[in-house]
Amino acid sequence: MAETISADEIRRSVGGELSEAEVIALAEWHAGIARGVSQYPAPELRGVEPPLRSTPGPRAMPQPPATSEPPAPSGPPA
Amino acid sequence: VSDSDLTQLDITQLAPLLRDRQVSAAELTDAYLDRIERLDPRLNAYIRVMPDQARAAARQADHDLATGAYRGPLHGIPVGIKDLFDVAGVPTTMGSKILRDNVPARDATVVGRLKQAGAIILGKHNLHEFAFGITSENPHFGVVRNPWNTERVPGGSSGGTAAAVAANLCAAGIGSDTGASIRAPAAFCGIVGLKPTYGRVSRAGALPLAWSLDHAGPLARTVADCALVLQAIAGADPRDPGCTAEPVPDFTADLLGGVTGLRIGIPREYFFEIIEPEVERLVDAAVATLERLGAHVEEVSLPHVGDAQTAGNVIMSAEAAAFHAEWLRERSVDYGSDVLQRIRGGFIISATDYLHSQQVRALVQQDFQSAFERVHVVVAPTVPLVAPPIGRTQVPGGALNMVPRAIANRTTVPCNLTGMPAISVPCGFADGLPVGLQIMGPAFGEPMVLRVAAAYEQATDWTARRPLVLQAAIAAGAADRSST
Repeated sequence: MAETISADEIRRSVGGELSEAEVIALAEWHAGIARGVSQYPAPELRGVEPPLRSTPGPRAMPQPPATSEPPAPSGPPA
Repeated sequence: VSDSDLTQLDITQLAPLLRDRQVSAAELTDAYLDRIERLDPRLNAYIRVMPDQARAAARQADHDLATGAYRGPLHGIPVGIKDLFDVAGVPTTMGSKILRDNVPARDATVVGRLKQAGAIILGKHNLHEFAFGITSENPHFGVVRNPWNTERVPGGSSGGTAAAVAANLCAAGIGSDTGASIRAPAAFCGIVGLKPTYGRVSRAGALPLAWSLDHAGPLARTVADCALVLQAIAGADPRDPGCTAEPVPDFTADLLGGVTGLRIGIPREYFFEIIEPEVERLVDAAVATLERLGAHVEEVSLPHVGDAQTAGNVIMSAEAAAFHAEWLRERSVDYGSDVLQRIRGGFIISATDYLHSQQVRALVQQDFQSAFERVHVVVAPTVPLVAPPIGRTQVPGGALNMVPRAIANRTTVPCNLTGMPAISVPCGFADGLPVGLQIMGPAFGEPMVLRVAAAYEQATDWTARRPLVLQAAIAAGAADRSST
């Protein structure tokens, strides 16, 4: 579950130049999120899969038509 | 019918007039453009008005009618588009400085479908920057003002669309809803807003906020008008991987079905725990009205819904941060401060918190699944407060002395997590400001949601009330005409 985050972690994660006030505001925002996440019912979470799915994936190209006769043997030019 | 009267008519009233050529699309479009010119400087609902394109489309609509090519109830109806949906050849700014010059070559699917249905695009609506906020206090294109009280916000992020619909600056509009953004502004502005089922309406050609939560849908003055617009825009679209091939029913078929015998669920938890007293009183009265109309009302339990707002905010911020990562690195100075802060928050969300929030999403879905085994719809307040004052949305205030931005999406975001359809329909006024009733249904249950909303609407007169700013404009228009 979410825990508090340090100013250094915030600067590292967000990147760019953050003012002191921006870091404090982000830390407060994260603390609020962390409080909310800490309320999640952990035992019940173990019983459900998040609704994220892979897809069946790309399809194979259509089967080439079956040939009724074997291809003619190719040999060296006469 | 005078020009000022034309803009007051609902789509259901206008459609037969247009079809029978008692009113032309050209005169209707001119009436709306005139109204926009008079009123929008006070509301700032439009980022861009498109008079030349609108008049050309109206002439074409009239020509089609004259040659017998009637396209249906939206033929010749002037509508507006939230400025995050592409209209070919017109900038899609998303309310941002970064996309000020972003000109798409192709229409968004919803825009293309509206055009196919004969609708006239009047322009692009203002919104909260990047659709990431609840107030529409836009730092780049100006604050949108609520037609019921221009010192109040219209809600967001589809604030321009809601204000425009409420003030008769378009007959209907298209908005998006990631956590509240159709329903909350509809509630704050006293109109009807429908967030359809996830996948019911294509988002192709709309810039994302959070892929797994984004929905597109209509805002209109009446439930029937919402149904007509939804009819035009719903359906499968290979351009949107989230769009389903679920059959599209006739959304108007059940509008007169009433609620006799229907079972309506009232959430035992969460939805009424933080709510302004007057909003609660009006929602309770609305529930009593539904009961008087013949519905059976009972409590339902949604034990995990209390975690929905945190889960929604975690998912939204993380997905938004992923979409904005490159711009944030290169152009952070071009973001408004509140949106910059919220997107940056997404970078400090851990992957495990994101996934735990997705698991909460599954639990909330299970809660509603259980509820819908007993009831046809679940009813609650759309938003627990009335529209807050402009400039006072990030500080405690109002009847609850709470920060409006912190609580404004708490009762709407559960349906973004579940993907269920939900509509906001006006249910009264508190201190002169509109209040919305939210009706939530099971996946692809739009016909039932619309049916209950229509029954309530027909039993009350809330949607017939118009904002004072509009009445003043009507009076001014009448005075102008009488003096010429």
